[in-house]
Amino acid sequence: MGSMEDWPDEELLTATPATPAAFAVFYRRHEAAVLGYFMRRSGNAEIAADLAAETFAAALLGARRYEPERGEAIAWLYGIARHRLMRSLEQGRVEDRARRKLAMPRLEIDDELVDRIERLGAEERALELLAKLPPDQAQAVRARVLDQRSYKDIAASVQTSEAVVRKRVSRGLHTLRALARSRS
Amino acid sequence: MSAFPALEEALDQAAHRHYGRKRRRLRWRLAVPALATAAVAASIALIARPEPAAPPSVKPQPAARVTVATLDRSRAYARRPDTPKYDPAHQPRVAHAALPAVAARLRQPIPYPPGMSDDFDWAAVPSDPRDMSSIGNALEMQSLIEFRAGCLWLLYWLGTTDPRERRAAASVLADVPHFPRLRVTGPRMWRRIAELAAAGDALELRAIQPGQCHGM
Repeated sequence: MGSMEDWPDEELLTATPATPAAFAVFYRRHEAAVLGYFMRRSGNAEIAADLAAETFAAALLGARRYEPERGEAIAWLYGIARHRLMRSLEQGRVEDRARRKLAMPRLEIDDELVDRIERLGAEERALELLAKLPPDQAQAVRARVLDQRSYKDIAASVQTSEAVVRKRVSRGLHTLRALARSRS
Repeated sequence: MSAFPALEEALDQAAHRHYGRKRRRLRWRLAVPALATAAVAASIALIARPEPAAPPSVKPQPAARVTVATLDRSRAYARRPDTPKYDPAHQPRVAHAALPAVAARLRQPIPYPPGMSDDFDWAAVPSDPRDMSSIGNALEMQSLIEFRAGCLWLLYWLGTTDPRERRAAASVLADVPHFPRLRVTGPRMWRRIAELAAAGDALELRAIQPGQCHGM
């Protein structure tokens, strides 16, 4: 069967009622993306943490009813996340119904966790903007700026010259700046 | 290691409670006669032992007791000056290979319960600074070390019923919110823990026991 870390999301969710530890693997895999998602949309790390906690609590409760035939687990999770976000916007507060049902304790959020969540939000924003670039520019910017690879290394892996890679990075960053300015 | 380990721990415990309880209920339906006996036995056990059993990670040491020197160390540590303001962009990084030695230096002035120590594996921390679960600066390390020391004192308090030891542990727990990093990062929770320890409220302490303290 292999390590749980190698199981696909769908298997982790369907296995959770019989193997509760599977949910922790699912959580770790998607924690950063969910926190970043909420940080970007709420602008507040504490609210993002609250929303993430409620989302994953709801996913844990719903794991028993999850059916892989109906769709991918990540789409299902993000559906829960969007719903929780909309509810919080409508009601002006974050629900805690799922957490209360699971008797989960209230969690403390210190400055360092706030910093981490804010960084996740910034990374998610960067990835959203990158997705708007042409694929070759996105690939070049990601490799150079996020992965900090050398131009020589990138050129070798995409089988082109360093000059071409430099141009792609330059154009990509120029476009990103324009996108960032237009959004703000 | 996750970015929000407390949430991971809380979800993991919730998963085992929620789904584990359902499994035990199924076996109950299949063993009604045994349940009657078990219920009687459980009632007797509850009456005889009003407080929950000590967590398995704590082994009370009858011969070892909190010393006056430990209490003095605790007060002295709580009176240390404030640490510099945490600035993730400009915090000098501790090399991965140096983490164990720096941690040992940071632990040195901290009070620990008798027979207990912090066995966190610093060498196992991810070395890639781009990994969200890496820890690489002394302030982050000190925050974690102080938090874990608070956990050990909480576990020590919960693991003993000796009134003198509980008073001593409560005295240290009263200092914990004033530890140099915890007074900045999270004094409110530790103040509540200190209040409950001083009041002798074991049940409430177990209920609010931080997720990060489990398994220590």
